[in-house]
Order: sequence, then structure tokens, then C-alpha cells
Amino acid sequence: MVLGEPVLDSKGRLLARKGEHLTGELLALLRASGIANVFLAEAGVPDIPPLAGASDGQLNADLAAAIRKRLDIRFRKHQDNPNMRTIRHLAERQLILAKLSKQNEEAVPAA
Amino acid sequence: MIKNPTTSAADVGQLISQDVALTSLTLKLVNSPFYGFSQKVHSITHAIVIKGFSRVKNLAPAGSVLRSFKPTQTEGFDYYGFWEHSIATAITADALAQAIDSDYSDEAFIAGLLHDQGKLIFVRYFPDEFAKVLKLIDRQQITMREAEHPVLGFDHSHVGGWLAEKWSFPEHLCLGIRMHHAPLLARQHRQLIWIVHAADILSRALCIGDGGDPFIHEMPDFVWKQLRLTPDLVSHVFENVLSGMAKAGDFLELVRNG
Repeated sequence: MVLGEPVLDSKGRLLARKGEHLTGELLALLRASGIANVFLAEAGVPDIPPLAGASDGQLNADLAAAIRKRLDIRFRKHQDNPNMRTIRHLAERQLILAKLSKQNEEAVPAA
Repeated sequence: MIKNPTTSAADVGQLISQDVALTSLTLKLVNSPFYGFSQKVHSITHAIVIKGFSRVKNLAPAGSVLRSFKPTQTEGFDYYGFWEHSIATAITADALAQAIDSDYSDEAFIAGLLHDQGKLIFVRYFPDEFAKVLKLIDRQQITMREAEHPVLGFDHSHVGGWLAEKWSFPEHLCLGIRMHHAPLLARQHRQLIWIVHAADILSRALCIGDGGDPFIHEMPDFVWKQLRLTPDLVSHVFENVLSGMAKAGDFLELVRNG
């Protein structure tokens, strides 16, 4: 199995690159880093089951919450600046749309 | 030679071709899908002919930096993440320059790519001090610049600008690197400095790579207005950056392998 998307930690640091083989060693590292889900490159292969048993319905909300958390940290000093608030809002929307688009692409069965 | 406006395409092609390693790097760069060539480029002269002199000429400094700063292991420093942030900033600067129809459209990409090169000097020549900087960031939750000054007495933009001058990079590139955290002090090549400053912020907003700290600098209202930024324009730039990053895999491999 090969990763279909890079894996980042809560600070946005790269833990594993897209295309890396999901070995037992890497899986252990990701679990130790608190990563609950990864995207796989192979069509028709399900995601690694969440550690905490999150349902499919929670997945989008979890991703959106993770994005907001990272942006909260990045923008925490600029909450009063309207231009920075605009940038944050647009970035959040773009990142969530990109994640959802990725999810939808993977949900479509291969022809 | 590169900063001389009278230098010809043939001069640059000949100069780069004399250096086998630099030729290889430059060809890998221009053949990266995200750099926008539609056909395989086999020679420097060919690259200049189909893409234009200015764009190829401007890539040469990247080869120098990549050759001089090989991947390194320093605790707390993510070399791969560093270049991912640099590439994201380059793509953002390029998209921004084109969106506002800037006179610096050909220069923005390389300025964004090399804007943080001072950090590579710290990693290589001041590893102990840089480790202190990284610990200070983690402990006090401050930006890299805020941590660099008390530990080193200066910051990566100064050192990056110094290196750019030392290597005789063109003046606009030296200033784009040196001033990217001081856009209000810009006097020459101001728009390029504003573009690099804004691109650094916008690429960080998209959480791509690792700029060394998890925080974002503030964009002065003056810069926002001078670049004529609007929500629609920023959205357009964001879309271009995410699609550009999706094509940047080869370049990241090149960086990773040195």
C-alpha cells in the first residue's frame, strides 16, 4: 500500500510523503504521532481505520477541525487585522475544499 | 554575468553548459512539470529558445544554492519541509505577480524560492545557535525572526541577502531576499519585495511545508493596497498554488536528493 497524500502532524510538519510505502514501521510511527487516518493511493482500498473509531460522518468534520486548529495557531496574533482575517478565511475555505475534493475523487469507484 | 542586462542568451547558455552539475540541475528544474514547459528540454540553449531568456537565466541562482546546501540532519530542522515551503512561496509569488500583471513576473518565482536561504546558512555554519533558535521558538511560541535576534543578533533575511550579494545575484533578487520581512522599508524593487513578503504569508496560510515556525507574519495594510489584493485575487492565487504544488513532486525529489 502506498500513501495517496502526504501525512502531516498537528504543527503541519511532514511525517510521510505521498507515494511512500506504508510499512509496519511507518504505520507505527504514524500511530505514535496520533495520526488517525491516511489516504491510500490504490483505488478501492479503504483508508486505514481510525484509531479512536471515528465514523465516516465524523471524518469531514475532523478534517475541517484540524485545518481550523492549524490556522488558529498560525493566525493567533492577527485576529484584529481585517486583511489577515480575510486571508485566513480564504485559506480555510480553500484547504477544506481541497480536502473534500480529494475525498470525493477517492470515493468514486474506478471505471 | 547573469546580472548584467547586456548578457546574451548564448553567453548564459555557454556559461551554464560549462558546468556539468549546474547544467544537470538547471535542466531538471526546467523539466519539472510545475515549471510549465510543455515539451522535454535537452539543452540550456533549447530552454532559452522555447521559454525565454529571462526565465531560464533567473533559474541559475537556484542551482548554486541547491549545490551548496546539500540535505542535512539537524535536530528540529525539517530540510524537506523547508524546501516545500520555499517552493510553495515561489509558486505563490509567481501566481501573484502574474495576477497583478507585475513587471517582476519573470523574477518572482526565483525570489520566492530563495527568500529563506539564510536559514540554510544557519543550519550549516551555526548549527548550535540554530538549535537554540528552534528550541526558543518551541518554548516561547514566537516566530523564527523573534527567536533569531536574541540568539544570533541578526536574522535569516539579513544573512540570506548577504549571501545573495556575495554570490553576485542580481540586485532585485538580493533585495527580495534581504527585505522580505521589511516591506515598508523597501526603496528599490519595491513591488518584488512586496510580492515575496505577501507570498511568504499566503503560502504559510495554506500550511504547506515548514517555514521553521508555525506562525504567520502580519501583512501591512500598505502592502495589501499596493499589490491591489482582493478576496477574489487571493482565492485565485490559492487555487494556482495548490494545483502547482500537486505538480512539484519531481522538484522536491531533486531537492531531497541534492
